[in-house]
Amino acid sequence: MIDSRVWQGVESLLDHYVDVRTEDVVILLYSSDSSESAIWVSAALELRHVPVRRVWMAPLHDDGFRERLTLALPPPAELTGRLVVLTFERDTMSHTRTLATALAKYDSHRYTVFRAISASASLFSDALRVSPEELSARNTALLERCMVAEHLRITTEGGTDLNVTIDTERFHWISNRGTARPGGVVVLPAGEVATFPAFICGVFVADFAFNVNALTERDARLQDHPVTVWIEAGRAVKYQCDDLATSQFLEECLQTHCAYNVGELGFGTNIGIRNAIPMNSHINERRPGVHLGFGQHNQDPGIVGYQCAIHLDLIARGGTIWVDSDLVPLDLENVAPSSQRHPTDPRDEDVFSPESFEANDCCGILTGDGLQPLPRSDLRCS
Amino acid sequence: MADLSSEQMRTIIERVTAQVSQEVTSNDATGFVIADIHPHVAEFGKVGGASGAWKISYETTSAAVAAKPDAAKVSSAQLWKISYET
Repeated sequence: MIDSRVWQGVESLLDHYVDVRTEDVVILLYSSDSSESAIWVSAALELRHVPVRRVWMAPLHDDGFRERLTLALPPPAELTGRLVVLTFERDTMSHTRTLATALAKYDSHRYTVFRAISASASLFSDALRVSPEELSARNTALLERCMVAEHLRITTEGGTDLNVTIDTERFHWISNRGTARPGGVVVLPAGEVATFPAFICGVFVADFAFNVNALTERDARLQDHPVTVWIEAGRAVKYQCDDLATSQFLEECLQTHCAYNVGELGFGTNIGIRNAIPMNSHINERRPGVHLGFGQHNQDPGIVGYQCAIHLDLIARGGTIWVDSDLVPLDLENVAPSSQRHPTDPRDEDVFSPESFEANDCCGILTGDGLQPLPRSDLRCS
Repeated sequence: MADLSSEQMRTIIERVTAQVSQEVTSNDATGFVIADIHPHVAEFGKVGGASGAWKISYETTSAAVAAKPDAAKVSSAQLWKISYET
Protein backbone atom coordinates (compact mmCIF):
# COMPACT_ATOMS: atom_id res chain seq x y z
CA MET A 1 0.00 0.00 0.00
CA ILE A 2 1.13 3.53 -0.76
CA ASP A 3 2.68 5.42 2.18
CA SER A 4 1.85 8.95 3.21
CA ARG A 5 5.01 10.56 1.79
CA VAL A 6 4.48 8.99 -1.62
CA TRP A 7 0.86 10.05 -1.53
CA GLN A 8 1.87 13.63 -0.70
CA GLY A 9 4.13 13.56 -3.73
CA VAL A 10 1.30 12.34 -5.93
CA GLU A 11 -0.91 15.15 -4.63
CA SER A 12 1.89 17.66 -5.15
CA LEU A 13 2.32 16.53 -8.74
CA LEU A 14 -1.37 17.00 -9.45
CA ASP A 15 -1.79 20.22 -7.48
CA HIS A 16 1.47 22.11 -7.93
CA TYR A 17 2.91 20.85 -11.18
CA VAL A 18 -0.11 19.90 -13.29
CA ASP A 19 -2.75 22.05 -11.53
CA VAL A 20 -5.25 19.47 -12.67
CA ARG A 21 -8.93 20.36 -12.90
CA THR A 22 -12.05 18.26 -13.25
CA GLU A 23 -12.68 19.49 -16.79
CA ASP A 24 -9.24 18.26 -17.92
CA VAL A 25 -8.73 14.97 -19.70
CA VAL A 26 -5.63 13.11 -18.53
CA ILE A 27 -3.80 10.64 -20.74
CA LEU A 28 -1.44 8.56 -18.62
CA LEU A 29 1.27 6.70 -20.51
CA TYR A 30 3.35 4.18 -18.62
CA SER A 31 5.74 1.32 -19.13
CA SER A 32 5.61 -1.89 -17.12
CA ASP A 33 8.52 -0.83 -14.93
CA SER A 34 6.46 2.16 -13.81
CA SER A 35 3.12 0.51 -13.17
CA GLU A 36 3.17 1.52 -9.49
CA SER A 37 3.38 5.17 -10.48
CA ALA A 38 0.51 4.63 -12.90
CA ILE A 39 -1.58 3.07 -10.13
CA TRP A 40 -0.94 5.86 -7.64
CA VAL A 41 -1.64 8.69 -10.05
CA SER A 42 -4.65 6.98 -11.61
CA ALA A 43 -6.17 6.43 -8.19
CA ALA A 44 -5.55 10.03 -7.15
CA LEU A 45 -7.17 11.31 -10.33
CA GLU A 46 -10.13 9.04 -9.85
CA LEU A 47 -10.56 10.31 -6.32
CA ARG A 48 -10.69 13.80 -7.78
CA HIS A 49 -13.20 12.76 -10.42
CA VAL A 50 -10.80 13.68 -13.20
CA PRO A 51 -11.15 11.41 -16.24
CA VAL A 52 -7.97 9.45 -16.95
CA ARG A 53 -7.18 7.14 -19.84
CA ARG A 54 -4.17 4.90 -19.39
CA VAL A 55 -2.02 3.72 -22.27
CA TRP A 56 0.61 1.06 -21.70
CA MET A 57 3.80 1.36 -23.72
CA ALA A 58 6.85 -0.75 -24.25
CA PRO A 59 10.03 1.29 -23.68
CA LEU A 60 11.87 2.56 -26.75
CA HIS A 61 10.33 0.29 -29.36
CA ASP A 62 6.62 -0.41 -29.56
CA ASP A 63 4.97 -0.86 -32.92
CA GLY A 64 1.48 -0.73 -31.47
CA PHE A 65 1.92 2.39 -29.38
CA ARG A 66 0.82 4.87 -32.04
CA GLU A 67 -2.49 3.10 -32.50
CA ARG A 68 -3.15 2.77 -28.78
CA LEU A 69 -2.32 6.43 -28.21
CA THR A 70 -4.52 7.57 -31.07
CA LEU A 71 -7.44 5.59 -29.70
CA ALA A 72 -7.04 7.17 -26.27
CA LEU A 73 -6.77 10.79 -27.37
CA PRO A 74 -10.02 12.79 -27.43
CA PRO A 75 -10.93 14.79 -30.56
CA PRO A 76 -9.74 18.38 -30.03
CA ALA A 77 -13.27 19.70 -30.46
CA GLU A 78 -14.50 17.61 -27.53
CA LEU A 79 -12.06 19.12 -25.06
CA THR A 80 -13.68 21.43 -22.54
CA GLY A 81 -10.59 21.74 -20.39
CA ARG A 82 -6.99 20.87 -21.11
CA LEU A 83 -5.45 17.72 -22.41
CA VAL A 84 -2.91 16.64 -19.79
CA VAL A 85 -0.37 14.03 -20.83
CA LEU A 86 1.54 12.33 -18.02
CA THR A 87 4.17 9.73 -18.82
CA PHE A 88 6.04 7.48 -16.42
CA GLU A 89 9.12 5.43 -17.22
CA ARG A 90 12.05 4.28 -15.16
CA ASP A 91 15.12 4.36 -17.38
CA THR A 92 13.91 5.74 -20.67
CA MET A 93 11.97 8.46 -22.41
CA SER A 94 10.21 6.74 -25.27
CA HIS A 95 8.12 7.53 -28.33
CA THR A 96 8.85 11.24 -28.35
CA ARG A 97 8.14 11.76 -32.03
CA THR A 98 5.00 9.67 -31.94
CA LEU A 99 3.71 11.74 -29.06
CA ALA A 100 4.63 15.00 -30.78
CA THR A 101 2.87 13.96 -33.96
CA ALA A 102 -0.24 12.97 -32.05
CA LEU A 103 -0.36 16.30 -30.18
CA ALA A 104 0.21 18.44 -33.26
CA LYS A 105 -3.53 18.63 -33.92
CA TYR A 106 -4.14 20.36 -30.58
CA ASP A 107 -3.74 24.05 -29.79
CA SER A 108 -0.48 24.28 -27.83
CA HIS A 109 -2.27 26.29 -25.15
CA ARG A 110 -4.74 23.48 -24.62
CA TYR A 111 -2.37 20.70 -23.70
CA THR A 112 0.43 20.17 -21.25
CA VAL A 113 2.94 17.32 -21.11
CA PHE A 114 4.86 16.02 -18.09
CA ARG A 115 7.34 13.24 -18.68
CA ALA A 116 8.65 11.53 -15.57
CA ILE A 117 11.78 9.44 -15.70
CA SER A 118 13.21 7.55 -12.75
CA ALA A 119 9.63 6.63 -11.84
CA SER A 120 9.74 5.16 -8.35
CA ALA A 121 8.52 5.78 -4.83
CA SER A 122 11.35 8.27 -4.32
CA LEU A 123 10.23 10.32 -7.30
CA PHE A 124 7.05 11.10 -5.38
CA SER A 125 8.16 10.90 -1.75
CA ASP A 126 11.23 13.09 -2.28
CA ALA A 127 11.49 14.93 -5.60
CA LEU A 128 7.88 15.87 -6.34
CA ARG A 129 7.08 17.10 -2.85
CA VAL A 130 8.94 20.31 -3.69
CA SER A 131 6.83 22.65 -5.81
CA PRO A 132 7.89 24.27 -9.09
CA GLU A 133 7.60 27.67 -7.42
CA GLU A 134 10.12 26.65 -4.78
CA LEU A 135 12.47 25.19 -7.37
CA SER A 136 12.11 28.23 -9.58
CA ALA A 137 13.03 30.58 -6.73
CA ARG A 138 16.16 28.55 -5.95
CA ASN A 139 17.17 28.24 -9.58
CA THR A 140 16.73 31.98 -9.93
CA ALA A 141 19.01 32.59 -6.96
CA LEU A 142 21.78 30.55 -8.56
CA LEU A 143 21.31 32.03 -12.02
CA GLU A 144 21.39 35.59 -10.68
CA ARG A 145 24.90 34.95 -9.41
CA CYS A 146 26.29 32.53 -11.97
CA MET A 147 24.99 33.92 -15.25
CA VAL A 148 26.93 37.14 -14.83
CA ALA A 149 30.03 35.41 -13.51
CA GLU A 150 33.28 34.88 -15.34
CA HIS A 151 34.98 32.61 -12.85
CA LEU A 152 33.76 30.11 -10.30
CA ARG A 153 35.72 28.23 -7.69
CA ILE A 154 33.80 25.22 -6.48
CA THR A 155 34.64 23.25 -3.37
CA THR A 156 32.96 20.46 -1.46
CA GLU A 157 33.52 18.90 1.94
CA GLY A 158 34.49 15.71 0.14
CA GLY A 159 37.58 17.36 -1.35
CA THR A 160 36.44 18.90 -4.61
CA ASP A 161 38.36 21.98 -5.69
CA LEU A 162 37.54 23.19 -9.19
CA ASN A 163 38.33 26.33 -11.15
CA VAL A 164 35.74 27.09 -13.81
CA THR A 165 35.47 29.74 -16.50
CA ILE A 166 31.91 30.67 -17.42
CA ASP A 167 30.95 32.06 -20.83
CA THR A 168 27.24 32.74 -20.77
CA GLU A 169 27.34 34.41 -24.21
CA ARG A 170 28.58 31.23 -25.86
CA PHE A 171 27.10 28.53 -23.70
CA HIS A 172 23.53 28.83 -22.56
CA TRP A 173 22.27 27.98 -19.12
CA ILE A 174 19.56 25.43 -18.63
CA SER A 175 17.05 25.69 -15.83
CA ASN A 176 14.95 22.69 -14.90
CA ARG A 177 12.25 23.86 -12.52
CA GLY A 178 9.11 21.88 -13.29
CA THR A 179 7.46 24.32 -15.68
CA ALA A 180 7.36 24.77 -19.43
CA ARG A 181 6.07 27.16 -22.02
CA PRO A 182 2.86 26.29 -23.90
CA GLY A 183 3.55 23.35 -26.17
CA GLY A 184 6.63 22.43 -24.18
CA VAL A 185 7.35 19.37 -22.14
CA VAL A 186 8.30 19.26 -18.49
CA VAL A 187 10.79 16.54 -17.62
CA LEU A 188 10.53 15.28 -14.07
CA PRO A 189 12.14 15.10 -11.55
CA ALA A 190 12.94 18.81 -11.62
CA GLY A 191 15.45 21.00 -9.81
CA GLU A 192 18.71 21.92 -11.48
CA VAL A 193 20.63 24.63 -13.30
CA ALA A 194 23.47 23.73 -15.65
CA THR A 195 25.74 25.00 -18.36
CA PHE A 196 28.81 23.95 -20.31
CA PRO A 197 32.03 25.07 -18.61
CA ALA A 198 34.15 27.11 -21.02
CA PHE A 199 37.16 25.92 -19.04
CA ILE A 200 37.45 23.67 -16.04
CA CYS A 201 40.36 22.18 -14.12
CA GLY A 202 41.06 20.78 -10.68
CA VAL A 203 39.89 17.84 -8.62
CA PHE A 204 36.33 16.60 -8.38
CA VAL A 205 35.19 14.17 -5.71
CA ALA A 206 31.84 12.51 -6.39
CA ASP A 207 30.71 11.22 -3.00
CA PHE A 208 26.96 11.03 -3.59
CA ALA A 209 26.03 9.03 -6.71
CA PHE A 210 26.35 8.58 -10.45
CA ASN A 211 23.74 8.73 -13.18
CA VAL A 212 24.45 7.34 -16.63
CA ASN A 213 22.28 7.28 -19.75
CA ALA A 214 22.44 3.52 -20.02
CA LEU A 215 20.55 0.64 -18.52
CA THR A 216 22.28 -0.58 -15.42
CA GLU A 217 21.31 -2.34 -12.22
CA ARG A 218 24.51 -1.21 -10.54
CA ASP A 219 24.07 0.55 -7.19
CA ALA A 220 24.45 4.23 -8.08
CA ARG A 221 25.44 5.38 -4.61
CA LEU A 222 29.01 6.50 -4.05
CA GLN A 223 29.10 7.55 -0.41
CA ASP A 224 31.05 4.45 0.63
CA HIS A 225 33.52 4.62 -2.23
CA PRO A 226 33.78 8.15 -3.65
CA VAL A 227 35.15 8.69 -7.12
CA THR A 228 37.96 11.22 -7.53
CA VAL A 229 38.53 12.71 -10.97
CA TRP A 230 41.45 14.91 -11.89
CA ILE A 231 40.53 17.39 -14.62
CA GLU A 232 42.83 19.38 -16.87
CA ALA A 233 41.59 21.77 -19.57
CA GLY A 234 38.08 20.38 -19.54
CA ARG A 235 39.08 16.74 -19.68
CA ALA A 236 39.31 13.94 -17.15
CA VAL A 237 42.94 12.89 -17.12
CA LYS A 238 42.84 10.49 -14.17
CA TYR A 239 40.24 8.93 -11.94
CA GLN A 240 40.37 6.81 -8.85
CA CYS A 241 37.90 4.78 -6.82
CA ASP A 242 38.62 2.27 -4.08
CA ASP A 243 35.83 -0.01 -5.23
CA LEU A 244 37.07 -2.27 -8.00
CA ALA A 245 33.68 -2.84 -9.64
CA THR A 246 32.91 0.87 -9.71
CA SER A 247 36.36 1.56 -11.05
CA GLN A 248 35.81 -0.88 -13.89
CA PHE A 249 32.44 0.67 -14.57
CA LEU A 250 34.03 4.11 -14.78
CA GLU A 251 36.65 2.79 -17.13
CA GLU A 252 34.04 1.38 -19.46
CA CYS A 253 32.17 4.67 -19.43
CA LEU A 254 35.12 6.97 -19.90
CA GLN A 255 36.66 4.90 -22.66
CA THR A 256 33.73 5.81 -24.88
CA HIS A 257 34.75 8.22 -27.61
CA CYS A 258 34.88 11.78 -26.22
CA ALA A 259 33.51 10.69 -22.84
CA TYR A 260 36.50 12.16 -21.01
CA ASN A 261 35.22 15.67 -21.83
CA VAL A 262 33.39 17.58 -19.14
CA GLY A 263 30.17 18.30 -21.01
CA GLU A 264 28.15 19.73 -18.16
CA LEU A 265 28.51 21.69 -14.97
CA GLY A 266 25.31 21.20 -12.99
CA PHE A 267 23.92 22.35 -9.67
CA GLY A 268 21.03 20.42 -8.13
CA THR A 269 18.39 22.49 -6.37
CA ASN A 270 15.73 20.05 -5.22
CA ILE A 271 15.71 20.28 -1.44
CA GLY A 272 13.36 17.31 -1.15
CA ILE A 273 16.18 14.96 -2.09
CA ARG A 274 18.53 14.25 0.80
CA ASN A 275 19.93 10.75 0.52
CA ALA A 276 21.09 8.90 -2.57
CA ILE A 277 18.95 6.07 -3.84
CA PRO A 278 20.50 2.91 -5.33
CA MET A 279 18.70 3.27 -8.65
CA ASN A 280 20.54 4.82 -11.58
CA SER A 281 18.35 7.90 -11.76
CA HIS A 282 17.91 11.60 -12.32
CA ILE A 283 16.63 11.86 -8.76
CA ASN A 284 20.15 11.72 -7.33
CA GLU A 285 21.53 14.51 -9.49
CA ARG A 286 18.74 16.91 -8.54
CA ARG A 287 19.98 16.84 -4.95
CA PRO A 288 21.46 20.16 -3.82
CA GLY A 289 25.10 19.91 -4.80
CA VAL A 290 27.47 20.07 -7.72
CA HIS A 291 27.73 17.47 -10.42
CA LEU A 292 29.77 17.10 -13.57
CA GLY A 293 28.47 15.41 -16.68
CA PHE A 294 31.16 13.60 -18.65
CA GLY A 295 30.64 12.96 -22.34
CA GLN A 296 27.68 14.42 -24.16
CA HIS A 297 27.27 18.14 -23.52
CA ASN A 298 24.11 20.10 -22.94
CA GLN A 299 24.49 22.66 -25.74
CA ASP A 300 23.12 22.84 -29.26
CA PRO A 301 24.86 20.75 -31.92
CA GLY A 302 27.93 22.48 -33.30
CA ILE A 303 28.45 24.80 -30.35
CA VAL A 304 30.89 22.64 -28.46
CA GLY A 305 32.49 20.66 -31.25
CA TYR A 306 31.90 17.06 -30.34
CA GLN A 307 29.09 14.63 -29.85
CA CYS A 308 29.29 11.72 -27.46
CA ALA A 309 27.16 8.62 -27.07
CA ILE A 310 27.41 8.66 -23.32
CA HIS A 311 26.56 11.07 -20.56
CA LEU A 312 27.88 10.07 -17.16
CA ASP A 313 26.98 12.33 -14.27
CA LEU A 314 29.16 12.14 -11.20
CA ILE A 315 27.46 13.82 -8.29
CA ALA A 316 28.89 15.35 -5.13
CA ARG A 317 27.03 16.00 -1.90
CA GLY A 318 26.59 19.73 -1.51
CA GLY A 319 29.11 22.31 -2.60
CA THR A 320 30.25 25.88 -2.17
CA ILE A 321 30.55 28.24 -5.13
CA TRP A 322 32.84 31.23 -4.93
CA VAL A 323 31.72 33.68 -7.63
CA ASP A 324 34.44 35.94 -9.07
CA SER A 325 35.80 38.12 -6.28
CA ASP A 326 32.62 38.04 -4.21
CA LEU A 327 33.48 37.25 -0.59
CA VAL A 328 30.14 35.61 0.08
CA PRO A 329 29.90 32.18 -1.50
CA LEU A 330 26.84 30.24 -2.52
CA ASP A 331 26.18 27.25 -0.31
CA LEU A 332 24.28 24.81 -2.52
CA GLU A 333 22.66 23.15 0.50
CA ASN A 334 21.44 26.46 1.86
CA VAL A 335 20.42 28.57 -1.10
CA ALA A 336 18.25 31.51 -0.17
CA PRO A 337 15.35 31.51 -2.66
CA SER A 338 15.18 34.60 -4.82
CA SER A 339 12.08 36.75 -4.89
CA GLN A 340 12.93 37.99 -8.36
CA ARG A 341 11.40 36.68 -11.55
CA HIS A 342 13.17 33.74 -13.11
CA PRO A 343 15.51 34.99 -15.85
CA THR A 344 14.21 34.58 -19.36
CA ASP A 345 17.61 33.95 -20.92
CA PRO A 346 18.15 30.37 -19.78
CA ARG A 347 16.53 27.76 -21.88
CA ASP A 348 13.27 26.89 -20.25
CA GLU A 349 14.86 23.54 -20.04
CA ASP A 350 13.28 20.22 -20.61
CA VAL A 351 11.40 21.95 -23.36
CA PHE A 352 10.80 20.02 -26.50
CA SER A 353 10.17 22.49 -29.25
CA PRO A 354 6.83 21.88 -30.94
CA GLU A 355 8.63 21.48 -34.25
CA SER A 356 11.29 19.00 -33.29
CA PHE A 357 9.94 17.83 -29.93
CA GLU A 358 13.39 16.58 -29.13
CA ALA A 359 14.44 15.75 -25.60
CA ASN A 360 16.64 18.53 -24.34
CA ASP A 361 17.32 17.58 -20.83
CA CYS A 362 20.55 18.83 -19.41
CA CYS A 363 21.61 15.50 -18.12
CA GLY A 364 21.27 12.92 -20.80
CA ILE A 365 18.17 10.85 -21.22
CA LEU A 366 17.90 7.41 -22.69
CA THR A 367 15.70 7.84 -25.77
CA GLY A 368 15.08 5.48 -28.64
CA ASP A 369 18.15 6.88 -30.37
CA GLY A 370 20.29 6.78 -27.33
CA LEU A 371 20.31 3.20 -26.10
CA GLN A 372 23.88 2.53 -25.19
CA PRO A 373 25.44 -0.88 -24.82
CA LEU A 374 27.30 0.11 -21.73
CA PRO A 375 28.64 -1.59 -19.87
CA ARG A 376 27.65 -4.86 -21.43
CA SER A 377 27.54 -6.76 -18.17
CA ASP A 378 24.94 -4.32 -16.88
CA LEU A 379 22.52 -4.48 -19.76
CA ARG A 380 19.04 -5.62 -19.00
CA CYS A 381 17.86 -5.29 -22.59
CA SER A 382 19.16 -4.11 -25.90
CA MET B 1 -11.04 16.87 -3.36
CA ALA B 2 -14.11 15.54 -1.65
CA ASP B 3 -13.56 13.89 1.71
CA LEU B 4 -13.33 10.15 1.39
CA SER B 5 -13.06 7.52 4.01
CA SER B 6 -9.93 5.44 4.14
CA GLU B 7 -12.11 2.49 3.17
CA GLN B 8 -13.25 4.27 -0.01
CA MET B 9 -9.66 5.15 -0.86
CA ARG B 10 -8.54 1.61 -0.29
CA THR B 11 -11.31 0.30 -2.52
CA ILE B 12 -10.36 2.62 -5.36
CA ILE B 13 -6.65 1.91 -5.09
CA GLU B 14 -7.24 -1.83 -5.03
CA ARG B 15 -9.45 -1.64 -8.09
CA VAL B 16 -6.96 0.53 -10.02
CA THR B 17 -4.16 -1.80 -8.99
CA ALA B 18 -6.04 -4.75 -10.42
CA GLN B 19 -6.75 -2.86 -13.63
CA VAL B 20 -3.15 -1.81 -14.16
CA SER B 21 -1.87 -5.28 -13.33
CA GLN B 22 -4.20 -6.72 -15.95
CA GLU B 23 -3.03 -4.13 -18.50
CA VAL B 24 0.61 -4.89 -17.84
CA THR B 25 0.09 -8.64 -17.94
CA SER B 26 -1.83 -8.59 -21.19
CA ASN B 27 0.51 -6.18 -22.93
CA ASP B 28 3.68 -7.88 -21.77
CA ALA B 29 2.27 -11.20 -22.91
CA THR B 30 1.61 -9.93 -26.40
CA GLY B 31 4.76 -7.90 -26.68
CA PHE B 32 6.06 -10.15 -29.41
CA VAL B 33 3.38 -11.21 -31.84
CA ILE B 34 3.34 -13.22 -35.00
CA ALA B 35 3.24 -10.05 -37.07
CA ASP B 36 6.66 -9.19 -35.64
CA ILE B 37 8.34 -12.28 -36.96
CA HIS B 38 9.14 -10.98 -40.44
CA PRO B 39 11.87 -8.47 -39.51
CA HIS B 40 13.43 -11.05 -37.24
CA VAL B 41 13.51 -13.55 -40.07
CA ALA B 42 15.17 -10.95 -42.27
CA GLU B 43 17.78 -10.27 -39.61
CA PHE B 44 18.51 -13.92 -39.06
CA GLY B 45 18.80 -14.39 -42.79
CA LYS B 46 21.71 -11.94 -42.84
CA VAL B 47 23.69 -13.97 -40.36
CA GLY B 48 26.28 -16.03 -42.13
CA GLY B 49 25.92 -14.18 -45.41
CA ALA B 50 24.10 -15.22 -48.56
CA SER B 51 24.97 -18.87 -48.08
CA GLY B 52 22.50 -18.93 -45.23
CA ALA B 53 24.13 -20.20 -42.09
CA TRP B 54 20.85 -20.62 -40.32
CA LYS B 55 17.82 -22.71 -40.95
CA ILE B 56 14.75 -21.37 -39.26
CA SER B 57 11.61 -23.37 -38.99
CA TYR B 58 8.20 -22.75 -37.53
CA GLU B 59 5.81 -25.38 -36.42
CA THR B 60 2.19 -25.27 -35.42
CA THR B 61 -0.94 -27.28 -35.92
CA SER B 62 -4.17 -26.46 -37.64
CA ALA B 63 -5.95 -27.19 -34.41
CA ALA B 64 -3.82 -24.64 -32.59
CA VAL B 65 -4.55 -22.01 -35.25
CA ALA B 66 -8.24 -22.81 -35.31
CA ALA B 67 -8.35 -22.37 -31.57
CA LYS B 68 -6.93 -18.86 -31.92
CA PRO B 69 -9.11 -17.01 -34.45
CA ASP B 70 -7.34 -13.75 -33.57
CA ALA B 71 -4.00 -15.36 -34.20
CA ALA B 72 -2.21 -12.23 -35.33
CA LYS B 73 -2.54 -10.78 -31.86
CA VAL B 74 -1.55 -13.89 -30.00
CA SER B 75 1.90 -14.22 -28.53
CA SER B 76 3.99 -16.39 -30.79
CA ALA B 77 5.01 -18.49 -27.86
CA GLN B 78 1.42 -19.51 -27.33
CA LEU B 79 0.92 -20.73 -30.88
CA TRP B 80 4.16 -21.51 -32.59
CA LYS B 81 7.16 -23.61 -31.94
CA ILE B 82 10.15 -21.85 -33.48
CA SER B 83 13.48 -23.58 -33.91
CA TYR B 84 16.84 -22.58 -35.34
CA GLU B 85 19.55 -24.78 -36.76
CA THR B 86 23.03 -24.11 -37.99
